[in-house]
Amino acid sequence: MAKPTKITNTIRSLRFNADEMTQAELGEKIGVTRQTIIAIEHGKYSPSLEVAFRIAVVFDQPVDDVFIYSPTK
Amino acid sequence: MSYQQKSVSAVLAIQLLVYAWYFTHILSQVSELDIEQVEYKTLLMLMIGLIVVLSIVGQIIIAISKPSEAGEVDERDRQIGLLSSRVGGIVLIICVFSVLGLLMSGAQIFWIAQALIASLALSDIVMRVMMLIYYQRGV
Repeated sequence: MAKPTKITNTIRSLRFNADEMTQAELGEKIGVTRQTIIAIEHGKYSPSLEVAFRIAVVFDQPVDDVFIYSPTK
Repeated sequence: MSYQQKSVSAVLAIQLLVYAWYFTHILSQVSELDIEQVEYKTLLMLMIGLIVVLSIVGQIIIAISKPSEAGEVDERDRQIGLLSSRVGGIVLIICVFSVLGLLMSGAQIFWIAQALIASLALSDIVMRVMMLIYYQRGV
């Protein structure tokens, strides 16, 4: 069972809108493995602040548009 | 499954097999011989050697099967490593206190040595099982 997290993200749709960027390509750009991208997308891993910013930079989006904190979730 | 996950699974399987082999041999000797006659030091060295060699061979096979992912470690792998080591460390501390109990009760050196080896084996196995759980469940 996945660990519940209050942070969701829009990485999957951002990848799709960025010429259907693969998880491996995104991982390579930010210096993590494809499995870590999969874990982040599925909410099984909350990345460090630095990796969160790197992802936001890749998609040219503010970090709070990529990661959404929902305290009531 | 990531390179690290495959690597942890392979080393865990090797450890389980080699530890089982060691303790089966030791216990069969104990049932047949006096404890003073049980030669465990050679077996212990062989066990350590087997784990090291088989783990290296396992890692090489995994690396050859997907060279692009070989040796890749990122922050998630490091975090999982740290969390799992902490659990393994707690198990080791509990086991060491149990061995101290054995020592204070006047157990023979042979049994104290076996209990220490079992403690190290158990903490190592728990650490790797926790790694696989964290990889599967998330951290």
